[in-house]
Amino acid sequence: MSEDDDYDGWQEVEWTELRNVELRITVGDVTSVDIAEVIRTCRTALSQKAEKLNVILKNLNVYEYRDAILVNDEYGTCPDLEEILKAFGLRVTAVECGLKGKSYVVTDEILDALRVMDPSYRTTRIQFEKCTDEIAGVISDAAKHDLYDSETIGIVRSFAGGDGVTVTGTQTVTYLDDEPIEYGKIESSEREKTISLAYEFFSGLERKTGRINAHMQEGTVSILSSRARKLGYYVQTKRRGGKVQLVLVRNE
Amino acid sequence: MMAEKKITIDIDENGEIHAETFGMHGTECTEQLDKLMKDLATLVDRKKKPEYYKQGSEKTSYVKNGHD
Repeated sequence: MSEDDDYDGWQEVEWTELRNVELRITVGDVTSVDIAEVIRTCRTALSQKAEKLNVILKNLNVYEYRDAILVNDEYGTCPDLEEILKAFGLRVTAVECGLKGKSYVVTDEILDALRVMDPSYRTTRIQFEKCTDEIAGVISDAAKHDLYDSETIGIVRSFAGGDGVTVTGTQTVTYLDDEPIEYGKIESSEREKTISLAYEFFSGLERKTGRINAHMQEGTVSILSSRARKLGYYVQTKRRGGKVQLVLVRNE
Repeated sequence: MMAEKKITIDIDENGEIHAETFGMHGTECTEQLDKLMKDLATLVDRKKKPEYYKQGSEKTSYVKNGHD
């Protein structure tokens, strides 16, 4: 035995340890989307949609309950109501609720997504009637929402608030005596799950915001067509690229 | 003989609306466009076509309360 191998009775010992580590995930790990900008886009889109819809809704009874509305056309003033609401990209369900005339429960995918990022949004552009328990029940039963689990909501809200998300993982560390000499790859199923949930949300949101202009355009076309028919015009719709042309003809 | 009244309305992706009327007389064209566009668009430009003074036809451009 040489002097190096057994110096003063000590021997170098290599050993490994599996240790828990904390990982910080930022929004940049998930998406290139600027969340503040997306929130602004969603808020603007909802305001513009509400403003346009108000052209129709101001003559109708509108009730609000938990991010859904019930639109009641008591006097049949808007025969194309369902078509117009759908043209704006809204989810529409016809309901029987004891009110005279046709009634529809309406929800919006942009509003559902915005609620996850920014729960404070509230429109002031639409005048709502007082919602009774009975109408609230009808809305609650018929409203179709994009549902997000609490985990996704927590993750997205952290990102939207400018914070990252902390998850745990494990890492193998190799020591020689008491000195770490090699760090293994960090394994974290929690990290993968968090990124996957956030990615799913933000990629879905991109698809939704990408449809905003088309929905606004189609909604406007739908309102104009409805008005034209009321004025006695025959309406023909032509689509060329991103442009829509209405040709209104009336013979007198 | 029945007279044909015609309006063409172009709506682009950015929310701009351009409208043109044909075969309308006097103020009929502006009245019809105002009824169609009420609260939906803000008028930014209005041009009377030469035939306006003969037949009352008018070309009108509206710009919608923009979405972009």
